[in-house]
Amino acid sequence: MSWFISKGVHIVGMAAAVPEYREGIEEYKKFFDIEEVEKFINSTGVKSTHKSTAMQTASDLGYAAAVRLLEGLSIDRSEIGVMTFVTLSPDYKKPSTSCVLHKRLGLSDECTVMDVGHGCAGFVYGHQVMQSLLSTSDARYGLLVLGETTSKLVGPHDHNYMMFGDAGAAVLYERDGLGECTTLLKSDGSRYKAIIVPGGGFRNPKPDDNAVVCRDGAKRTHYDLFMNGIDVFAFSISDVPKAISEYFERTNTSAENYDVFALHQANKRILSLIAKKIGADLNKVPICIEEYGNTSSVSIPLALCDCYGSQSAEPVRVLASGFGVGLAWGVTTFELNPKAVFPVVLTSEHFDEGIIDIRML
Amino acid sequence: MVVETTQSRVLRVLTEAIPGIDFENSDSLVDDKKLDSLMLAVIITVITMEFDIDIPFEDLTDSSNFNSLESITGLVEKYL
Repeated sequence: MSWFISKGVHIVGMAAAVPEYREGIEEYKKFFDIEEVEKFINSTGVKSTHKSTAMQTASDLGYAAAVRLLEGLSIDRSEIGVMTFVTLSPDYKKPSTSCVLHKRLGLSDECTVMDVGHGCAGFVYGHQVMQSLLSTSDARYGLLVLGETTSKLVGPHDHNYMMFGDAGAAVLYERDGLGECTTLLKSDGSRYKAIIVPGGGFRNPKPDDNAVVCRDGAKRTHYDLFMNGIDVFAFSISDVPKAISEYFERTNTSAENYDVFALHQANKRILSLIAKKIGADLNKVPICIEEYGNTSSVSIPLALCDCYGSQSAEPVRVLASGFGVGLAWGVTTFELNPKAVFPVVLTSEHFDEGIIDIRML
Repeated sequence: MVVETTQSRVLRVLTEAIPGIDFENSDSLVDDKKLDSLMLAVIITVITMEFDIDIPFEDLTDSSNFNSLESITGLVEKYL
């Protein structure tokens, strides 16, 4: 079974960042007729998204969040011994984007870095990777950075153009020898085609970029994201609440034991149905999908920052569940101090040095 | 007192949620692409909430369950 029990690591705080550029109904109406826009909003709950500029990458967004977090908590960066970057939107095919962030954040060469290639389940996967690495290291701090620019993979011929926003987040962990964290991680590779970008990887590196009409009526190139909407919707409201129920059983808890249900912001209706199925009060589910859309692995920390940023509430017990591309999904729980959760940062900055002129290498 | 049948209740919640679709006079709503994945997500949500039922993955992804008012009603009655 895919159960993990980690000891002695806790979350110190978190921050999130989104691009300054925002698109809403007025912008969507340039590409879709108003009936399609209204139908989309009614079905998903998404009313706007923040989209990165042409030069802005997932690591730029993760970097902005990490800087906000580390400066806000006055962390000595030399004490960060592990850093992972969760993304499916890397800066380059090589090297790992975590190496670029390592430089930009000024981390020590004693710091271990790696990318974690997961999307919507990426926060829970990254959380467990960080728990496992940090609990077996001699480092004091671990930094989990997440970033995604899925909007760049969806063209305005597909209604999912309105669905995906871009964002970054950073979560700081500390090894303190106290406490225990149980995490459930699941995968089903038989459904790998449910959400896929078929071109541009090493399987099919340079397909032509002509858009063709697909079976669902949308026009796409091989470089665009395809999502089997109804299969993914059905997965989200079937496998995910089942996994959360398994988590309750394993940990001998119920919905009443948690203050917050931080669920991947895939679709507002999915949030309602999962809450209903697990017996959670919908008022305990932070919802930010109306403003930011689906931001993949970032959506859980983004929702928490959107909900708790700048609040001085007492610590809360959080149940988090991420689910999506892979297919992959997971459930974990942790305590969160809202005083160390920062409001969402808006940024339009990018890493200019990262735009490489190969003649200068 | 008028007793609302399951089918009339299904029709009521569907037409409230998706006003533009003629649910009563079609038996190929999905096959004819009158319902897309966005609309199916709405239908699944409203019938789950209205009838407090739990439809398993296999039936949610079987498009024939959503081709007509009768088939949607049959799906609801299967899990009532």
